Amino acid sequence: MSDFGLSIAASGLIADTAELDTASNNLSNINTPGYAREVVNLSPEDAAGPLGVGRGVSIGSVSELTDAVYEAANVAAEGVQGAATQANEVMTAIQSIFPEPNTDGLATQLSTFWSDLSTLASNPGQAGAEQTVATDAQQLAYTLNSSTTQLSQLSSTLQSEIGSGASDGGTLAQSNGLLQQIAKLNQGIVAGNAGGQNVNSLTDERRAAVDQLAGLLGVTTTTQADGSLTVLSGGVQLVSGTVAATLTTSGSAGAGNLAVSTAGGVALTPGGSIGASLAAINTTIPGYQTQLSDVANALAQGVNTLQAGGMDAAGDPGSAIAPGGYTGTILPDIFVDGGSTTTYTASGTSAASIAVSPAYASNPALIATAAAPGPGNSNVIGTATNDTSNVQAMAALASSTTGPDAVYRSFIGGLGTDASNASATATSASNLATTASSNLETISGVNQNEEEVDILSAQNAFQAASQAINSINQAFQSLLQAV
Amino acid sequence: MRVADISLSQAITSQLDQQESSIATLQEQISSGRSLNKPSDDPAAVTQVLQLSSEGSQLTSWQSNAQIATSWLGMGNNAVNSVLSNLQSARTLLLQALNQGTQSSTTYQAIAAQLQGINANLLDTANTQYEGRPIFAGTSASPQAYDSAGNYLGNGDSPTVIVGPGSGAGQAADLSVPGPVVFGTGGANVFSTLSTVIGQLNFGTPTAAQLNTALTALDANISDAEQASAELGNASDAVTSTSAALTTQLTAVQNGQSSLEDVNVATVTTQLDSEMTNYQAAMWAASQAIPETLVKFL
Repeated sequence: MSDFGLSIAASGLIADTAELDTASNNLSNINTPGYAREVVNLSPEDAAGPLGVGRGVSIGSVSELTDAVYEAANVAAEGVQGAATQANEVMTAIQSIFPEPNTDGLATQLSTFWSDLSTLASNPGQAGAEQTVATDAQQLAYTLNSSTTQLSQLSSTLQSEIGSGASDGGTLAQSNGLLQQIAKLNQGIVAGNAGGQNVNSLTDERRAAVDQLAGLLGVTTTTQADGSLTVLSGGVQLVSGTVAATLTTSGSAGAGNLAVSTAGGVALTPGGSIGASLAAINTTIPGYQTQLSDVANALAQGVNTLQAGGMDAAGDPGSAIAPGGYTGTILPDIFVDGGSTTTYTASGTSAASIAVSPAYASNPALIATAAAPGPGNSNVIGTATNDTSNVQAMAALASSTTGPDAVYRSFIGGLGTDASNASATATSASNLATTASSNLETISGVNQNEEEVDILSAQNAFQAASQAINSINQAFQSLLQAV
Repeated sequence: MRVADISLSQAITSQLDQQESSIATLQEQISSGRSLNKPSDDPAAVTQVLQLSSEGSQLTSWQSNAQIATSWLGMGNNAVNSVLSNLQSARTLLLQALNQGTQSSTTYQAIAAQLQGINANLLDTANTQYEGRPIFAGTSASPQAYDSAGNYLGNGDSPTVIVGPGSGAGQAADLSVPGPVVFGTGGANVFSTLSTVIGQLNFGTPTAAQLNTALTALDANISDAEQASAELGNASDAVTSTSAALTTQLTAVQNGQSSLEDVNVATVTTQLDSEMTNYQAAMWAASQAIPETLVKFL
């Protein structure tokens, strides 16, 4: 039986209200991360009645506008950007430890050392010149030590930034929280879908969580038929249905073997900022420390070899030329390492522990300024001499192609290249992420004008429907009065 | 194409961020006066600057060594010139003793006394020191080159400094020559020649043969000293020209370094100017784009 179209007009009012609500909701969420624009899906009610007149409008559903390809690209871009940004930050921090070219960097300190050796060569046996050389050597050892220490500190800072995965405010704990959240949202979405409820706000929330997780871990996702999202990172499944893995770390920054695995013991090679931090802790920083040790080794071995093969101004022989059974003073090594106070053992960690030998530091006169006795000179072991050819050879290490200066230069060149690549990568990753996000937003984003037009048209439609009710009402009134 | 408002604001933010970062870099360059402030600014140029600054430091060392060599050699030249004039005086005295026939022992003794004075001068000269080191003692650490009897205490090696690149420790420059090069060797040295003839003169009746032997020996000594003088003079010339070459090289290295690391103020200010214009344009565009929506016109 017809109600004179009142129910038809009412269905329009309901549909228009839904349009207004949806547009308002879209506008309110214009800046909400993960929010996908919603639209009301309307369809005409089936025609009925003798004349086949329609029976109004019905609301099919309120659905989200999104695109699986763009979403996947966006998640991937978030991961790349997270990794590139973190790697760039690490390189910036490393570079600040080596502020070259700079008047107080290691390069300048090496130059000072060589030129002070050259000064000593013009003033053999002069206490002031000898002391200056010893002080320079100590400064070099100190700079190498402190640069390595700063690199180690950076490594520990990165480790504590990641945390242990337990609730320590670290990024891994944050990731665990997000994994739990995604699993919980999966549960809600699966249940909601089964019950035919609107789960748009849950998927919005899940999308925001995945975006954030992508930046931290670099993830890929697949949506299952039941609406739940499977999350993988580095090939390892982290969320499946309502089950979330708990991530934990093993190893340490100090040992350069920090690793992330699930509580079940499955090792993970994550991307994102955590992946970049792990790469810095395990590869980049130890690599630079090894290169810095190469500088230390070139310095110590170059100087020590000459020291061992020469004699000081008083005629004391170096260890390599002291005759068997020599009972006088034998020159100490200048640089020592490897836990010894008398010898230098080159290693990949020498930069951390290179030191000036106490025997030389306390008596800077014990430097081999003169050459070993030989056909080209009149030097005699045990006899004082003003020969300076050996200390001249030490000063000439400055231009040796395998000397510490050359090794350090190539280290700085490599560091600069790495840092400039990291910065370029970060810029392009950021552009890529912006593009991916704006691609997605062309589908999912909210455009204010569009919503305002929707509101206006819904408002007009609402007024028209109200007018229809008014007309029907007046028709009723006339009819009732006529009766 | 649909543009979401959030994309618009993200694009504006990221654009402004990038411009601000270029402006900050240019400002850093202008305020520090250096275009290279960290290794990543230009890794190749930074490596080159480090190389040049290391070369510059070596050149500076070599130059200061060349100056030291110049001082030593100058002092050595003065000493040898004084030796030569003393030896000429000694020769004149010997000729005087020889040419005037037999003379009284008092006259011979007077000549001997003068020769004694010359001998003392020569000994003083032979022990000339540069900053506490006897310049004619070779590389020996002996505090004196000659003892009071005229015996050589040094060794036969010339002290050197390094004044340039080369094999081993580099190009060495002699600071001096060992005493025997100037004063003669062992029993034939100046002091031995003079003390022999002084003894004979003091005895009162030197034979012509004795005086002639002394004269021959002295002539040999003079010729040695002249050679030494030439040697020192050549060494001094060589060091002077090396030093001039070092100055040229140092200037080249410093110019190379500053062309790499110093800011070209004109270029950078122009760049900053154009960045600022772009930045202002971008901000103006943002200020226009963000608030304009349909709402304004409803």
